[in-house]
Amino acid sequence: MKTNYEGCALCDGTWGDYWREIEGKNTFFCCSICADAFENMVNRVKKETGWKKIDSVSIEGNYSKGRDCVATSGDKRVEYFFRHEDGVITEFRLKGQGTSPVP
Amino acid sequence: MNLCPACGEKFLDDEISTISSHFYSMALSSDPTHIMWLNRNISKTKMQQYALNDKFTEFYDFSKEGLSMWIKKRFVARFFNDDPNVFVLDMQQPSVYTIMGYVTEHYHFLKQWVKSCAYILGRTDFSEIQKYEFDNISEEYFGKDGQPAHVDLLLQMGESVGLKKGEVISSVPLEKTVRALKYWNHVCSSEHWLDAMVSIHSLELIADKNVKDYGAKYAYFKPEILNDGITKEVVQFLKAGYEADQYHSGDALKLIEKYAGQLKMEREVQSYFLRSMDFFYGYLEARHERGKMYEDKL
Ligand SMILES: [Zn+2]
Ligand SMILES: [Zn+2]
Repeated sequence: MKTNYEGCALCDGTWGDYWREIEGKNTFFCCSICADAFENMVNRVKKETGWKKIDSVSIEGNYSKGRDCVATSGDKRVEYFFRHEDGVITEFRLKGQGTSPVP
Repeated sequence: MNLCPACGEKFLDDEISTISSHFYSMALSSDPTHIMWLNRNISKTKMQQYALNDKFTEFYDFSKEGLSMWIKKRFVARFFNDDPNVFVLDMQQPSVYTIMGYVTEHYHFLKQWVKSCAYILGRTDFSEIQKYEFDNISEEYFGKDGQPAHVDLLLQMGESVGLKKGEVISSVPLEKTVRALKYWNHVCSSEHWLDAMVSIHSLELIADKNVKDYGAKYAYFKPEILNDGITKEVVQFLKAGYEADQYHSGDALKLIEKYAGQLKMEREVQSYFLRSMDFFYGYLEARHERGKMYEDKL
C-alpha cells in the first residue's frame, strides 16, 4: 500500500523504529501507538467502504486537529476525516456523509 | 536533581546531557511517550545524540529573557499556537455546552487547587510564599474585595446555563481530569514546594490577558464576550479570572524565578513546569469532552 509520508506512515516523524505489516507491506512507524492508529484507521475504511483492499492512503493533519485523508482502491476513491486517542479511533467521518462518532 | 518532562523519571543531576541521552535511548526503543514529546517540542526528525543534546540545550536556555518569560513563552507555544488546544478553540465561540463542560471539570480542579495551595503553604518556610498561597486559598473559598468566592462564581456560571449545582458537586470527573488531579496532588504533597508552585501556578497563564505579547495567536477568549457574554454569570466568572489570574500568575512567576535562582533549582523547575503543562493539556481536553457529552445528552 502506498502512503504519502517518508517517515512514520501516520505522523511522518522519523524517530523510533517500529514496523508492522499493513495490507501486505512491512510499514515503518515511529511507535506502536501510531501503528495502532493507522491499522485501526485502515480497517475502518475497509469496513465503511466494503473494499477488500486499499492501494493508497494519503494523510494530512495531526493529533489535535485530526487528520484529513484520501484512500484509493483500484479506480475507487474515498475522502474521510479521523481522530485517534492512544491508537483507538475516536472520530471517523466519510466526507460529505455526516458525522459518525464512534460510540 | 531533575526529572524527565515526558515520563517523570528522576535524575540525580540536572545536566542537559542526562536528559538528552535519556530521550535518545527511549526514542531508539520506539517509546511512544518520549517520541511524541520530541515531535512536539524538539523536532520530528531523528538526529544524532550530540545534535539532540544541542537542541535540548537551546530548548532549556532561559538566559536571554529570564525564567519567568521562558515559562510564559513555552506555555503560549503549547496552548495558543496555530494549532491550539481544543478547549481554547471552543472558547473562541463558546456554546452553553462549552460552559457546562468547563464548570463540571473545573469544579474538581478547584477543589484540588485549594489542597495544592495548602500543601505549598504548609511545606515552605518562606512567609512571602505562605502569604501568597493564603491569599489564593482565601479568594477561592471566601472571595476577595467583596466579590463572591471563586468557586461560587463558577457554580453560578453553571446554574446560569441550566446546570444544577448539585449535579456538578456530585459528578465524577473524567479520566483525563482525574489523571491530572492525581499528579498535582502528588507533586504538591510530596515534591519540593517550589516544584509544586511552578506546577500549579504556571497554569494560571491560561487566562493571562497578555498572552499575545508572548507570541500567542489566540487568547483564552475574545474580550468582546465580556460585553456580550452568554449570561451575566458567565461574564462575571470570566472577568474575575481575567483580572485575577493574570495578577496571580505574574506574581507567582516572579516568586518562582526568585527562589529558583536562590535555591539553584532552575532546571528542575523548568522540567516540572513542562510536565505539569502536559497534564493540564489533557485536563483542558476533558473540559471539551464533557461539553460534548452534555451536547449529546440534551
Ligand atoms: Zn508516528
Ligand atoms: Zn522519560
